[in-house]
This record gives sequence, structure tokens and C-alpha cells, in this order.
Amino acid sequence: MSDDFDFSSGMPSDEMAQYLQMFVDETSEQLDALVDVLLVLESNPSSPSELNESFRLIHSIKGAAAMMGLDSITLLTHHLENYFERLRSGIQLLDRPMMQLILKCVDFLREATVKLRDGEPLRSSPDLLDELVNRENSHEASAAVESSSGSRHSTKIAERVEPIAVEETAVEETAVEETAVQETAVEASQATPSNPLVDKRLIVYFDRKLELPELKAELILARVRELAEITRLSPAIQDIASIVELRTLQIWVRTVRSDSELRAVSEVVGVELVEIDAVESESSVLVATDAVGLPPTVLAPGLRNEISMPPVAANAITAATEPVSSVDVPAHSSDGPSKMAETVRVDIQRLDKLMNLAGELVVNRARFVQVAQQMSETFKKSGLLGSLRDLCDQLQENLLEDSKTTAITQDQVVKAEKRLELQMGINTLQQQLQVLEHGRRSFLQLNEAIDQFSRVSDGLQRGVLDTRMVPVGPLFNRFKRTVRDISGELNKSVNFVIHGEKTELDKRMIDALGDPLVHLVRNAIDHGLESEDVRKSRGKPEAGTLTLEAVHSGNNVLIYVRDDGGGINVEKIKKRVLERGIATSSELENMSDHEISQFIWSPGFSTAEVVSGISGRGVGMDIVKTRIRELSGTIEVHSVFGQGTTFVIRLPLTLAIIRSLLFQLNEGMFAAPIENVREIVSVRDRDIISVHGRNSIEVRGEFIPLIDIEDVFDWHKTRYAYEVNQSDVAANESDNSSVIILSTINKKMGLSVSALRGCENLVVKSLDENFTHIQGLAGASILGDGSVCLLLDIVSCVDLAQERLRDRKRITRKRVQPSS
Amino acid sequence: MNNRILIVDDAMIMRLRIREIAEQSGWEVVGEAATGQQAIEMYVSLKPSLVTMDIVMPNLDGVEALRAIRSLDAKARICMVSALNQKEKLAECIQLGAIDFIVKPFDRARLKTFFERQGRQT
Repeated sequence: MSDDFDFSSGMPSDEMAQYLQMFVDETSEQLDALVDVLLVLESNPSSPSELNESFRLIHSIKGAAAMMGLDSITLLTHHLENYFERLRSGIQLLDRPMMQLILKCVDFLREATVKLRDGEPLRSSPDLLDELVNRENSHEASAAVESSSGSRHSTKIAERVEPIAVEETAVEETAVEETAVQETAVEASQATPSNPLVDKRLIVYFDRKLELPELKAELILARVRELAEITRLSPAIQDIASIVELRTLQIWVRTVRSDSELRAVSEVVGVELVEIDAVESESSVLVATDAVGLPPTVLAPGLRNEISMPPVAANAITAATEPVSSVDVPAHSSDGPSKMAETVRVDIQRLDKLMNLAGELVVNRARFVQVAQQMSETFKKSGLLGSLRDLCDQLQENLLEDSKTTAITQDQVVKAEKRLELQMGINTLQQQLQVLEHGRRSFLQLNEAIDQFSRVSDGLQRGVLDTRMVPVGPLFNRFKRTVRDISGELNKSVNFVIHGEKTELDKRMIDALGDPLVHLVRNAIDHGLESEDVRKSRGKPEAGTLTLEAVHSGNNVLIYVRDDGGGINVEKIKKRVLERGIATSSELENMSDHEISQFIWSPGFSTAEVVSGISGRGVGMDIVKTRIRELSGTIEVHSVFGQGTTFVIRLPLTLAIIRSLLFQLNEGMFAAPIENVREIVSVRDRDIISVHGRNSIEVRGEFIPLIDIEDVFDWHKTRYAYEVNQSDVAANESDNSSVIILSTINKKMGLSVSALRGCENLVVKSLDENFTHIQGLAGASILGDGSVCLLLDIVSCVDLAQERLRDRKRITRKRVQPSS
Repeated sequence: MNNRILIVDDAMIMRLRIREIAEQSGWEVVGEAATGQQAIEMYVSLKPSLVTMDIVMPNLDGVEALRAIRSLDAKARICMVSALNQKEKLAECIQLGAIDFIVKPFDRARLKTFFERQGRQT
């Protein structure tokens, strides 16, 4: 076997491609379950239920892989299965090196499922296979104990085991066998004039390359025996197992049954054809063959037992003839009827589509609500309709007043005609008002319908959201293994704690969280937790504690990766920052420890002096941050030197709908997630003060940097350009302006806005799909009135503002230097 | 009419595959069970004319389920579907009256032939 890509066996067969997704999902779940069981076995290597469960899981993966035509997986699991077969039959004990090897195999299998998902060809695993086979062989050589399974050895074992079985059981079973045979014989020989007892020969042709032909022969014999008395066989039963490729089996029978009945029982899977012909009676055949000098296997009644696999035949017949009560079924149901939650596997893309549609529905609902609000002005009882009615009544009254003072002059006749016209006009008006009144009732009904619609669309949206939610438990549990491996390698003892496994998160996020979390966990054990000696000297328990925790918080899920190690070493970071030229020493002087520790997010930053094999592979924390940001999440770090580090990942429950505060910046409409809005304050121009060269405001004794949207985005003189609205903004600044205090977990900033526009649920559409990713923007949304609104990504906005401010300072300093 | 089949296997992918072939061969799949215990319960309530039975399953394996079903209904037609290395178990199943066995991974044509032949017999 070579290390090259094996295309022939590495890709699933074409026909099976449709099952690939299911195979990958099911196998991943089974691998997760397997690791859980293995970890139990590690502390209790001979627990029978765990050994059985491991065997079953591996067996199941093998079966599915074989069906998919994935040879490399099948081969590996086959050997693993052999091994577990020996373990559960107590022939071998699970030792530590073997455990390592099994876990390596699990890794290989997991990697294989990932490759399959990505459509990459699989590699074979010669090293693992060699190692597994070596262990198998060495075990066999040294112990020379019979293994009970494994197809590689099956023929050998069959030869070894079966003769013993025959000897042992032949005597005991004889009595049963004989009555049984007699019974069938009686049945078979119940000849009637229309159904005479006939001698027949069945020639069974097997398929080429049939698996387990000897067992097939056994099956056919067992089934034929139910209908007929077998008088002769060729080849003889004891020879069948040793024939390399069994192609035909000839059975001579004596029976009353028809050819079609015999054919029905002998045409089992793997049988190509059964020919049946009537033959001369047994004795004459015997004579004939004797004459030729080829002694065929003739069954004398007394010898039948030895030839016809006694235990098989005997049990089959007795089981069938015994009363029904022999197996105690209810005994098994003591653990209750097995109730499986009924589930359906759905392609996540379909759910995405559904989610999008539900989102559209929500947008449409907002539109309905807005239109209805506009219409309600028209239809309000005290509104237009009311005043029209009043007007109408008044006209009518005036007309009546006027008609009382009637005199009969020419002039007055004309006037009377005019009055009549006027009266008709008023009547028409009243009719129209009635139509309008009718319309108002319809409008009220429409409002009710919109309310109903809102409820349904909310429910639908929640429902779709729920279908995508899965608990984080399985994801977290996978880290038991990671922690075990890393701590073993680094020789640190780690106490791994998991909290909040039942917290649910969008499936897509769960899938994407794996890698960043692995990185954080590795870092925590490698760089975070100190060696045992250092811990002792610091008065901490020798074993470090690493906690993975998930917590629900409003529309977010927070994931904490916490260690009680040494914390971030600010001095080391300063040193590295200067080495890399990421910032200057004077800049660093102005920074708090917390600000300095934020440099770990810079691309290519790594403080590990020795790059170990576990962390510090060149993929830095910036990759982690990017990954989290791709999920519209944020990650922040808190560290206390000497006491530990906590990473907090904040993820939205859903990527699709975000409750936001809408506001206007210059001409454009913008929004910020309501979670990030701490408060809104009114600020006068003279309240703005300068702290460390930054514009700040004082809110209840706390200084908060004030930034302008100009500090965040480069407008490239678009129509939102600052200059265009200079006068407006200037006017705004002259008197009170609104400032939104935006906060992330550990940062705050004030953003001055032109006007506030209220709160709304925004259905967020990605900009990245159609445009490019713009730092500082989380997406866009269509508002109820059809206009577009941009959603700010607060964390990166704060970062951008800080960066720009630093750059600007640097530029001004450079400008200043030559002149001084 | 009478071609009603119960599929027993702990792997969903296997059940799906067998179902597809059975349906193409004119069988009505009346149920799917994932454990031996389920298989027995479903056999009793559904009375299928044919059962395909996996051997290695959680919560009662295929051999025990076969034993139980055959003892409840001596006419039960059960075909074992199993991997090559379950030879001893398969031999036991033949004793217990399984009408046939199919080795996993199975060949589509072979399984189809089996269903068609069985369809003619019921």
C-alpha cells in the first residue's frame, strides 16, 4: 500500500453519492459516541457494556462504509472491529499503547469524514493498518489463543471449532434429532394418491464470488429438510467448507412436495439457478454410482446425524415444533419500550432557505404594519371621516335653515332649484361617506388580519430558528479528548470542567466553532496553565482547571474558555510588539495593561518563545478572531496576571434577525444592535473635553471617548460625504446633539448621530455575498418603507476608530518632528 | 397486496438503502426498527410478511430478536442482513429458522432478486 491518494477506493461509488451526506453525519455522530465510550474504557478497560458498545459502533461504521464503497475506512474499521471482538471476549486486555492507536484511528476516521464532506479523495492509512495488523499477529503468535471472530481467520476457526461441536453434541442431540427427523419424514412421506412420494435431485448453482457459501449450503439444507427427506449430498457436507469456490450443490431428496415449493426454499440469495429433476429411487442410484466406483455420500438412516450438522438441524426443527412460550419476550421489555425521538435529517441549506423566507416574511410584515399605520390616519374615527361627516351634517342644517325662509319670487325659484341641487349633492356625499365608513370597517378587519399575520410570522420565524438549534454538549464533550491528549503530551495535569452543555446554538455556528475552540483550549493548556512546580510555588493546586462554559444571555450565547493559569504577561507582549514594530514604545506608554493585551489579536503575533508542537503553529489568535467574526460574533479577552485568563465569545442566537436601534448619520440610515447600546445622552458642544488627545465626554463621572463616523469609515467622497453636510452637522453641534453610548464587553464609545429613528427588528442580509466585506459593517437591511439601512459591527467600529486615531497621532507627530 | 416488509437495522443509511431497493421491487415498507426490541414490538403490531434483520444492534441484537419473533410466530419470514464476520451468529440464525441471509455490503442486484423472488412467494 502506498501513501498516494487512492482514488479508486477513496471516493464513494457513484450510485452511493446520494447517501454521502447521511453517511458523513451518521459516522460523525458514531465517532463522537465512540470517543465517549473509549474515555470510559480508559479508566475501566474491561467494562463489558462499553466494550460491546464500542464494538457495535465500529461495526456499524464499517457496514456503512462498505456499502458506500469506501475501502480505506472499511479496511481500518474491520481491523478495529477484530480487535474489539477479542477484547469483549476477554482474550485480550485493552492496554495504553493500544488505546493511543485506537484514538489515532478515530482521528483518521474523523479526518476522513471531513474530507468526504469537502469532496476530497480519501487517503489510505498504511501506518495505522500496519500497526493494527502487527498487534494482531504478535498477539496471535505469543498467546496462540483462539480469537473468536474476524473474517480473516473465520475459515480457520470454523475448521477448528466445528468438529468439536459435532462430537460434543452428537450424542446429546441424537434423541431429539431422531424424533425431529421422524416428524419431517412423516410429513414428507404423507403420500397421497395425487401426491406420491418422489425421488428428486436438486442442482443448486451458486453465484460467482459468493460470500460464505458453506453457510448458504447449510441454509439450503436446513430449509429443504423442512419439506423433504434428504437422502444424498454432493459434495459431502464435511467437504463444503474446504472447497475454495463452491459453484454447485446437488441434493437428492424424497418428498411429496412440488418442484416449485422446493425451488422456493432453495432459491436463496446468492443462488443463481435451481434445477430439479426426477430421479430413480435411492437404491438404484446407489447401485449405479457404486458401479462407477465413486462412492457418493449416501445417508443411511442411522448415520444421518453426523452428516447433517446436528445442532443446526436439530435446533431448527425443535424450535419450530416446540410450543410458542419458549422465549420470554416481556423479560426484555423490562427496560421499557424503546422510544426513540423521531427525527428527520434535513440538509442545512434547506433550513437556510427557509430561514431566509421567514426573514422576508418579517420584512413584509413590517411593511404591512407601516402602511396600516399610515392608513389609520385616514380611517381614524375622529379623523378625516369624522370631520367629513360633521361638515356634511352642517351643510344639511344650513340648507334646512335656509329653506324655512322661503318666499315665492322669481329669484327665489332659482334659489330653490339651487337648493335642490345642493340637497342632492349632500345626499351623494352622505352615500360616499357610507362607503368610506364601510371601508373603515374593512380597514379594522385588515388590522386584525395584520396582527394575526404578525403572530404567525413570529411563530414561524421562531420555529425555523428552533429547528436549527442544537445543544453545545456534543461539541464540548469532544474536548475531553483534546484536553486529555494535550495535557498528556505537555505533562500537565488538567482538571477539565464543562458547564451549560444544554445551551443551544445554531447548527452552523456549532460546526464552525470547533476549530477556534480547539485553538483556545490548546493555548490555555500550553501557554496559560503553568507547570506543576510553578503552580505549587504560587500556592495554587497542582492540577490546573480549564473550564468551557456556555451561557444564554438575551439574544446572545456567551462561551467562556477560562483557565486559572498565569494570565497574560503584559511585559512579554510589550517586548514582542516592539520587536515586530506593531507599535512604538511611546504609544505603549499611553496604554493600559488591558489595551496592551489586545495586541494578541494582531496578525502573526505569538509570544511563545519556543514554538511547541501543540500551539504556536503560526496560526495566531487573529485567525480565531476572524473565524468568530465570520459568525457575526465577538471575542474578547480578560486576564489577571498570575490568576488566569478568560476568553469570552459572544455569538448571536441567530444570524438572521437582530433587534437594533436606528439612527441617522448625515444622510444615511444606520443601525446598531440594541445589545451594544448602553444609553443615549444629549451632549452640548462645550461638554466635549480632550483626554489623552481624544475627544471625550463625561457621563456620570466616567470618561467615554467620543468618536465621529468620520473616524470609522473612509467615505471616498460619496454622497454621504462629511463635507456635503458640514453645515448641518455644524448646526447640530452648535446646540445639543444626541450621542449613543455603544458598549462591548470591555469597551465603550460615544457616537454622535444626526437623528434617532427608533427601534426595530432588522432582518440582516449579508453584504459580503454581493459586495466585498467592509470592516465595521455587519450587514444591511431593508426597512419597512423599502429604504436600505446599514448595520454597524460595533466591535470592529471601535477598533477601527482606535486605529485611525493612533495613525492620525503618528502622522501629526511626524509632521511636528521636522519643524522642532 | 401482501408484500409488506419490516426493515430492522441500527444504521439509518442501511435502512434507507434497503427501503429503496425493496420499494423498487414492489414491496411496501410498513416499518423500520433500529433495535431488536423495537423489531419485536413492531413485528407484533404490524404483522409484516417479510423482515430484514441486522445482527449487531443496541438493545437486543438480531439473533435474539429473531428467536423471539420466531417463537411468537413460527411462520415469520426473516432474512438476516449481516457483515461477513458474523459467521457464527449467522449459523445460529439458520438454526433459529431465518429464511435467508444477505452479506453486507450487499450487491443491489442481489438484494433486488431476493425481494422479487420473495414477492412471488407471498
